[in-house]
Amino acid sequence: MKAQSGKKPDKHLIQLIRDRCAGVPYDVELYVNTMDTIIKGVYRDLGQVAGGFMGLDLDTFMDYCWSRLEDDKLVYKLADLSYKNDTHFLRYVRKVFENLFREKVSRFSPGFRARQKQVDRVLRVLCVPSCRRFCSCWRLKEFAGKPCSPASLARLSQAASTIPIPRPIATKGTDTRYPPIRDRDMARFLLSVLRAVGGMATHQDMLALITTQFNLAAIHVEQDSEGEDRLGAKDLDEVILGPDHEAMAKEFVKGMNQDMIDIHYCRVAKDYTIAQTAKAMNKSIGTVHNRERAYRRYIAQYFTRGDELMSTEEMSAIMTLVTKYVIAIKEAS
Amino acid sequence: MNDERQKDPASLQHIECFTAEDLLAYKTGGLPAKKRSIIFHHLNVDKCPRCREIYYLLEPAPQADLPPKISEKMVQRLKGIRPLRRWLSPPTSLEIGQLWTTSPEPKDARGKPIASIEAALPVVIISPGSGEKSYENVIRVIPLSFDTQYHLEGETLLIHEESPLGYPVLLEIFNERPMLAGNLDEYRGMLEPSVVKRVISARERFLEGNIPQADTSYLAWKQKEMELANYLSYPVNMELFSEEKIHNAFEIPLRQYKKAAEVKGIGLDEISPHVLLETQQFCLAVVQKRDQMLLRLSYNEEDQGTPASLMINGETVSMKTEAPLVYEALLGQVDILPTDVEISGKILDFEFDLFIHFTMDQKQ
Repeated sequence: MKAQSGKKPDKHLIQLIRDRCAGVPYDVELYVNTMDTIIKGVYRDLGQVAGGFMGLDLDTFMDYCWSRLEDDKLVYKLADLSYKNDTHFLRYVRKVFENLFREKVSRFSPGFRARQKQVDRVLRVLCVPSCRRFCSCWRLKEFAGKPCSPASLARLSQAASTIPIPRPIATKGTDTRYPPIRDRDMARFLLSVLRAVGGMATHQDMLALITTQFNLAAIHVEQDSEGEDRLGAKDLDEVILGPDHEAMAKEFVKGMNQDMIDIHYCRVAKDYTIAQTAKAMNKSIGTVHNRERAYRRYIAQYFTRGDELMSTEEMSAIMTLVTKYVIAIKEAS
Repeated sequence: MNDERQKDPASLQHIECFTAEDLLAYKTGGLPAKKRSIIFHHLNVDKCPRCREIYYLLEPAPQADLPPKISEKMVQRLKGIRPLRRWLSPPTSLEIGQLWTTSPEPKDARGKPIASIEAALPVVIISPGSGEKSYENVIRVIPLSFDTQYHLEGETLLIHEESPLGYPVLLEIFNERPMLAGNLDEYRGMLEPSVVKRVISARERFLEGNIPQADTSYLAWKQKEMELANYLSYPVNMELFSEEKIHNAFEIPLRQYKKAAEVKGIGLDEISPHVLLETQQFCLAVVQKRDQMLLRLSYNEEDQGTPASLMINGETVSMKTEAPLVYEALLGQVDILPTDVEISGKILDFEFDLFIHFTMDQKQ
């Protein structure tokens, strides 16, 4: 006896799960294989660094997922939602396992996660993007021409032992368990360590180093809503951009002439009025008006080219990067 | 306490979220512009906490050597256990208290598909209409949620051991809505009569307008739940708001009521609501409260005051505040109520013209 609805070719897996929950014969191997494949895929994408040395190995994660599926009846919930087809079903199941992974790592120290983000933020600027993308290692830009040969964790630890770790910022009300460290101090530390080991290290080893250097594994906060809130609020302020945005900002800056750079620097970065800009540029107010109009036309043309339709928020985020690059150009000149 | 409230891993609230694969593609670059913009919006404008956290956990990595073999121990275990038997033959007619899954591709009254969603939620029937599982039959349902930590007395009802689904569920009393019975999918069981009584009682308390205090996290969750269930009502609303006037007509049965001398206070079972209009901001309903027939306007979150205009059978009527966010106007006494009532007006930017035909409830 099969469950009620007719089996459609694109609903094979949906039917499988419904049969499993209806208590009628089903393909057990296919069910286990499908779930195992998705769980492993999630672990591959998320577990490499976060789980690798924080006690969440693949077997533990798989056991946890199966326990939630079968013992906590999660599979019945999956069977009681209806999906358009198997593609949507698989996508949904993947998100469920990602949520289970998130549940597991939420028990990690907030300090670990904050530091992980900081390492990511700081090294992204200093390292070769392609290495980050393809071989999962941090390679300093100055070592871009060298063959990829990341240092071992032991070598990293040895190098780090000779370099003073950055001092936390002493601010009022700061929780001593995960005190903030300035990005520039962290950058200086990581740069020194990487230079000392030949310019490159894997992401996982670098985070393992940070965990031991800052004693993060020892800090284990399970339920600290106040701390989580504080970090959470800070997290929400951070705009998450991809390398495509950075590439666009660079392309945008590349297309700017000196007048545009000056106008952007004064009007956006320095927040000058037209009059102040005219004075700073040693031009008349009318000239500044005209140059600003020309610059606005360039902005409009850049963001409306082709079929690319961007939201105001996304444009604004790219322009923030543009400001950063313009400041760097002006300060270098 | 509320900060510790977790959504269920299978919560439908994650439907718009991205998978780690999508987020990894965003993190490493090279996505098509449209998809990149959508993910940017989700991460930075919607500020989805789930996807932001997953984003930070992602690390681009070469293909890892993961064990290719499947969990033999799991296969053995599953083959060895007797699964919970939930196979149920479809009932001959729809009844209050039945649990159903719903179709992710809802159809209109003519059986023509009008929408398509990624995943659809289960519901419990609260009013079975004619009892037929057809596209002509308009029923009323309460959506079910897995997010049991969002239970709020007065707005939701938590069912634990009595759940025929085998796991605890949350009945979203606040989210009750009409749907076409043809858009039900598979039968999943029946609530115990005692639970049905609790549902009816909770529903009546809710409709009385006793709105409990809720925190912002709950309100955000509730708003999302209402949006997620909108697909259920699309086909009904389509009929209602179609250009032909006849589709804006409702037939509402009048219930017999107890005489005031027979009882003291008003019983919860003496209140019967019939929703006329439902939008994200407000709900307009006709409510029989013992011998009175009322027109009730309730706002979902922000109080927008009385309607800009309201006419009943050609006469301008003003509504009175009944409770926070709730306004009412008397349509008439049940015994002397005209058979047909025309209600027109404007609430927020929404203009309407509705015809109601009252009939005596034959089931009583």
